[in-house]
Amino acid sequence: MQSEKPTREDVYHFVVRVLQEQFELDADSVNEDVDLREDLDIDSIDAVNILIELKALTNKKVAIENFHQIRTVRDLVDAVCKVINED
Amino acid sequence: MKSLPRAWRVPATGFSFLVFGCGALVLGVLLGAWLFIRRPAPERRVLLVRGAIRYMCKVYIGMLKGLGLLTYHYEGFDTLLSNGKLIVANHPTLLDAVFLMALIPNATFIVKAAMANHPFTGGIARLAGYIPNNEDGIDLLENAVNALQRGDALVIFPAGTRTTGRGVKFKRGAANIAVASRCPIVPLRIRCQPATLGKNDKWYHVPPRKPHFEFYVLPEFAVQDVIDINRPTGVQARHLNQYLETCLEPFDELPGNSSAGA
Repeated sequence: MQSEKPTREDVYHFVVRVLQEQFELDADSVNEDVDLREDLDIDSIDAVNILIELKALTNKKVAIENFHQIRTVRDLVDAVCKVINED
Repeated sequence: MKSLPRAWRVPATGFSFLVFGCGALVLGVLLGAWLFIRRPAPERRVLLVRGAIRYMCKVYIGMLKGLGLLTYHYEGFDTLLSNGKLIVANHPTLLDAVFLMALIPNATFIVKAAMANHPFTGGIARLAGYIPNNEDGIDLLENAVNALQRGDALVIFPAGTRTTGRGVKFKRGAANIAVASRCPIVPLRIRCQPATLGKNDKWYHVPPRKPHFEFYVLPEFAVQDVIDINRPTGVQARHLNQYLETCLEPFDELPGNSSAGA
């Protein structure tokens, strides 16, 4: 079943696409180092919408503990990958 | 109306703070003990606790008025009797929640984590099924949408903390809850003049004259009345949040007289 798991690359592209769609951001305004709060003005409750969308990619509920510790897109992608690989 | 002198209102205010803290603690302990013995069903328990809170808040406000510490006026609360509505209010003073707890039956409040964990108020807030506003959003959003679907009135102060004046930025929790649940929204405007019990006021900084509190329930609206619901949810929440910020801006005129509506 290992092959069905999305790669880090998949997760990153998915997160970027969701950010662009949900918050109508330009493609070039999102990269790994972008700060979710400072640069994109996304708070923890906005992020819930991203996590809901992520269910489509991961086929399971993505609950991230300690969301307030996540600063950048990279942190978010890492946290999602951690959840995916937890089984 | 003539105000009682400060020499009276300062100790009376101190006394009132003491009564509030002790009252919340005692009510929490007594209700907790009673519920432990009687063990009512969970839905009934929440209703009982909210009823008790409502009664105590009424008594408390009556006491504040009786002590000559404030006067108040409210309008439009009969429209809140049918529930499942999201009530969003501005938050100028420490007493806003006490008034709203007295005025709105069966209301679920979203309370600051600090209040939900406070030794005096935490017990009673938990018993009443209030939703703590913790750092992470998932539980908050789910609990809030569930409360609305259960038919509770859900009360939020989207400013997140006490604020006065213009240009207050709201947190997007209320807007995200409304977008997720598609519930009707009722703006509730609070005014207190002269300002008192704000964020940076010490309890003994009583205003020069007795403050007058006013509470106006504004006409309810649906999310789709004010924003484009075909846009993505993140954008909808931002637009709705901006709308809420404008419709709860403090106003100098009384509603009904002028352009207070949207």
